[in-house]
Amino acid sequence: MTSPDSNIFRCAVLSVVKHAYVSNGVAAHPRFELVVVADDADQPDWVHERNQKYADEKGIPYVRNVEKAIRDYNVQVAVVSSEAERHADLSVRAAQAGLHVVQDKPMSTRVSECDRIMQAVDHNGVKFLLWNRNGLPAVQQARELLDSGSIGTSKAIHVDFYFSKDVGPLKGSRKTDDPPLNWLDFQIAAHVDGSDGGVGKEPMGELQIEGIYPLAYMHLLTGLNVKRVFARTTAHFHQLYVDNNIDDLATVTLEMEGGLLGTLAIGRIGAASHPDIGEIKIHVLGTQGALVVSEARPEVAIHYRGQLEKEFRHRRIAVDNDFYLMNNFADAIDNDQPTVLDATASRNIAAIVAAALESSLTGQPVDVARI
Amino acid sequence: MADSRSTTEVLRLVHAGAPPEFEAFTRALAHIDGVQNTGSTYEADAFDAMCSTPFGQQIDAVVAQLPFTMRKSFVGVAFDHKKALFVTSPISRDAEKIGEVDRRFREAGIPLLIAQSQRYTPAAQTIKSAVDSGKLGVPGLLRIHRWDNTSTGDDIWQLQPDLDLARWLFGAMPLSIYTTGQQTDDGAYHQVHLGFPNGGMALIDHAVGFQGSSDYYSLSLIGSTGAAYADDHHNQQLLFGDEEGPRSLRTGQGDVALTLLLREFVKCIADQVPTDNAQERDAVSLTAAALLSFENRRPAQLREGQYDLA
Repeated sequence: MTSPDSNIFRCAVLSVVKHAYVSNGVAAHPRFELVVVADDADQPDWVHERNQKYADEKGIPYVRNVEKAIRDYNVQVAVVSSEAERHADLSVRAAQAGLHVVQDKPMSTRVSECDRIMQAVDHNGVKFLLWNRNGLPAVQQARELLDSGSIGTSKAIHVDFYFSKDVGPLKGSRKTDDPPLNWLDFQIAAHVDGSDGGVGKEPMGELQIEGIYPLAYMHLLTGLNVKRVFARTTAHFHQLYVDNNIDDLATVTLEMEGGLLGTLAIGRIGAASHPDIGEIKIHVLGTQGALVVSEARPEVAIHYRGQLEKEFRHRRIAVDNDFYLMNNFADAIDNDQPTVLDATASRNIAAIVAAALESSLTGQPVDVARI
Repeated sequence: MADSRSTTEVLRLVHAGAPPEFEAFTRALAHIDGVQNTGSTYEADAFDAMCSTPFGQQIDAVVAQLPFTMRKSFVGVAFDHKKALFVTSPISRDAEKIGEVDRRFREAGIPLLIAQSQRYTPAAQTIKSAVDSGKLGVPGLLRIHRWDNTSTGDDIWQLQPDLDLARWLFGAMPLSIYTTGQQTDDGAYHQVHLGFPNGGMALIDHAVGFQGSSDYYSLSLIGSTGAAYADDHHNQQLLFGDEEGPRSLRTGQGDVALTLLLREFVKCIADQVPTDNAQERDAVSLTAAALLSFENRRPAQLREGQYDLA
């Protein structure tokens, strides 16, 4: 299903309040064209301002009525990049209007909302892609090696996923009389430096915001469902996370189908803790060998006099993730195949995260199927 | 007897272990002043007989690097002959028995060092120094992968050195332990999930016997203001020219760990400092709790100094 006179998919950007990597990633593929930005009229001013700004940058209209924009602009794809708690509502409405959906992470802040997306996508026969990093060269190489049987049968998989970014004042820096940091206010202000990954009214920890990425690696590399989790979480670095009672550091034990075991270590560990964006690694132990992968490689080191402290010294090269994802999405539509991270897989990841958060509260393992 | 000697005299040490360990011992001892390598023995009975000879009576201390099943009898012989003893951890899988042995040696004034060698590796020493300096802030997340194809054991007790390391780096016993794993014809695998009183956590996984996974080690410690990464992946060298294609090789780190341990042991003897092996009791308690969790598929929690199922 493309526009009548070409094989180009016309896309409506349904809210673009966070950093615009998803919609820009979509637009980077020659078969996808952004034609309109749309949102609901009752959204606050800061949302409209961001939507309008993005529309202006792209030279496309901004319409304060989602359904009207879908009707008037002959679109086949919705690109949803709103606050996290609005993801599901916009994706469901788009699916019900017959649009394929590319959505930013997390799928939703609630598993019940993920279920709604899954049902809407299934009922309306459209495709859903949750944005992810599975197309990075090192991840793809890992998949090829595992698929070829290089290390035999996988017995354990581990992912480290650390972002070495600061998020406001350090833990313990708030004075006695200071009010707690407001999550949404902070996220809105953080837009300027791109550290607003959790933008929305509901505070979200790192497991909820970023857990999708490492868990999507595991989904890609194993194809297996997680049955049971045990987790620890804490706010270890940032006052914002302490004030909002959410995690900036977490570990999860994963027990998967077929006896496969795994762990996830995730955190927003502070800018001082790594020379680049953070240590992101995949370890897989197999019956005939093992695999240790640095997700950032290949990379090139750049050092020079006067270099800014925050500038990464190592730069990823040969990154083609946007094209990979959108090519996969186009193929899925053309050939009625699942996407690399479809609604069911995304929902299952949301359930793993929810189970992990429950485990961290109770101190007990939690069966994911119960979520 | 060691504690009756002047510090200016040479300490005479005998080694108990197999040839590769003896060679490492010899190399390590060469770095230390005031010691003499007097040779080697192996069986406890042979050491017992040696100690009864004029030569044996001149021995001040024994360094025992023996298989686990041989250590207990060696401890007894060393105690009977009042020889200062360096013995590889663990000597027992019962924390109370270790406490009893430790107490007996201390009361008799015989130095006993139950060596947790993992603490003395160059990487662990460097990281502990960074932790102690405060540069890393409050330890938050320790991650260890150890894939070992050289070890003969396949049970959960293989985790003890790394559990000890975790306890050492966090400076506290974990409040909770959750262990999963599997033992198959392909190899044995365990992973342990620890939670510490400061909210910190650790993930340790250990594989033994899996083909092609030999001798890989990685440790990272994320603190509140910094992080440390000790990673074989980073430290690999490349060898080309092999018919099977490029190979990665780990650069050796010599006998640094054993040298540091022996130096500490010799200092204990020379300075007549009473030894305390509380860390060994803690490590054994911790490993027993990991086993308890594994066997019951439930977390173990620390309550009033004891680990019970949560």
